[in-house]
Amino acid sequence: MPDCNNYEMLISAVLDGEATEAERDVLQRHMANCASCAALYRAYAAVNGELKNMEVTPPDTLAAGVMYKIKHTGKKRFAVGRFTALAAAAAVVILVGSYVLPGFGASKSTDKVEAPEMYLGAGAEADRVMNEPAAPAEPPPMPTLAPAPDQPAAEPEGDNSMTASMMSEGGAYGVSRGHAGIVMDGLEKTEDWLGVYIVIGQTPEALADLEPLAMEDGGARYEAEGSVIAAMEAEGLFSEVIYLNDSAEKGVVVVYPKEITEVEP
Amino acid sequence: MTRDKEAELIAAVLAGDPNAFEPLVTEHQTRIYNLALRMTGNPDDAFDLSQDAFIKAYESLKDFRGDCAFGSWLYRLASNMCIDFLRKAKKRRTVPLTQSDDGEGERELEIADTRFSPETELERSELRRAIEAGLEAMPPAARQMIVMRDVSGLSYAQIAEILNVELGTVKSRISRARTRLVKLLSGDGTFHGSDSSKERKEGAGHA
Repeated sequence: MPDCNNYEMLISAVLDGEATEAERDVLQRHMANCASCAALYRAYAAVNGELKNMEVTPPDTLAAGVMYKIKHTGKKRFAVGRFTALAAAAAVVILVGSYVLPGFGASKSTDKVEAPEMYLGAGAEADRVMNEPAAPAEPPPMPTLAPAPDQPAAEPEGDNSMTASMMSEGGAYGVSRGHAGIVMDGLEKTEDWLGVYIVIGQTPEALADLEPLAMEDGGARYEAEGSVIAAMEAEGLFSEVIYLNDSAEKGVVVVYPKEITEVEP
Repeated sequence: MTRDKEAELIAAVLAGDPNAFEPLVTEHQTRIYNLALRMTGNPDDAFDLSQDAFIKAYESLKDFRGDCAFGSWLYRLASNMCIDFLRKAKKRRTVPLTQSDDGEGERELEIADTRFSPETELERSELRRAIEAGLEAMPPAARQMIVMRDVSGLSYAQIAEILNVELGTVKSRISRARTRLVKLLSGDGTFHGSDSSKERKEGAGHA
């Protein structure tokens, strides 16, 4: 069929509903005598039909992430390199620590501090978690919770170890602009929250029934009970934990659908 | 969403209310995401690119003159970003489209076979995988035609508007892209049946 190439466009147009009545007739008559074109028509139809069925629903975090980013354009412009971001975040963590301290020192006894299981508010589980050798996903608690006024030396050391542990995790779990941003946002509520817990990947089962508080930086933020958090910590779900207050009942869990490893320039 | 509603939301954003942008995002996110997904071939890139497109739209909203639908303007923006992304990515890997490795040479997809219609789940998912692979094997400009027409469901007129080309150009580009895709799916590149076995199958009996 020498002029079948001319019919390709016609086939497409007819399939797309962009052909005239007359054009459809021409094609019909041609296809009655040209098996090759008839086959092409069917092939186009099969492919087109399947493509229409392949539509995917985007994840919820897409819109949420967009809204967060457009409302927080200032915050996202952190420094460029990963380590600079880590240092910035470590500075924020120290800042959070000193913010918490006065309240902490005033109302908490040293006994409580020395019983780390209180952090998680769930005895046996907490013991197990706290006594486990430091797994990569669980950095040690913030040193500022082993408080301050009479142990000034401890704080800087602690800070170094915190920074060091965050840096040694390096890789995918580096604290980036997003995480620091959340800690910054959380400052107002440090007295109410046990800590900020970061999950990267799927939303954990335990949170499935909860409504996210907010979507920030592409991450969904949930308020969760201490016991729920302890269970999740025991499963090793957290890539990062920033402890703020050992006596609170609830914590904030932030779930990022994927690793945030790069800071946008 | 009506053009009036659109205009209202855009005016609100420009007047300083970022939240007014959200309904515009939710309205268009499926289309933009699927555009990005079928252009980039992977969900992570599609996710990032979609977000970036919306953010760019937000940031340049004052440049939107309202002479076309917001969706068209946004789509063009996103589509250009996809093309740029692919240019930068630069790699065009050859994707195996057939199972000819296991010696099943004949059992290529046989899209051209008149008996082929994906009725079973298995056939359908084979077809989908092949289509995905076929899309990725196409050059970005051709891929874009298939995506705009068959994934995004845009009319020829809409495509012409977005690409800023003549209607006739759209028609010919689409049919060429489709032929290319079908040839890739047929595996042997000789779709029009110069392959004698296929010609015999489709031969005399069919009318």
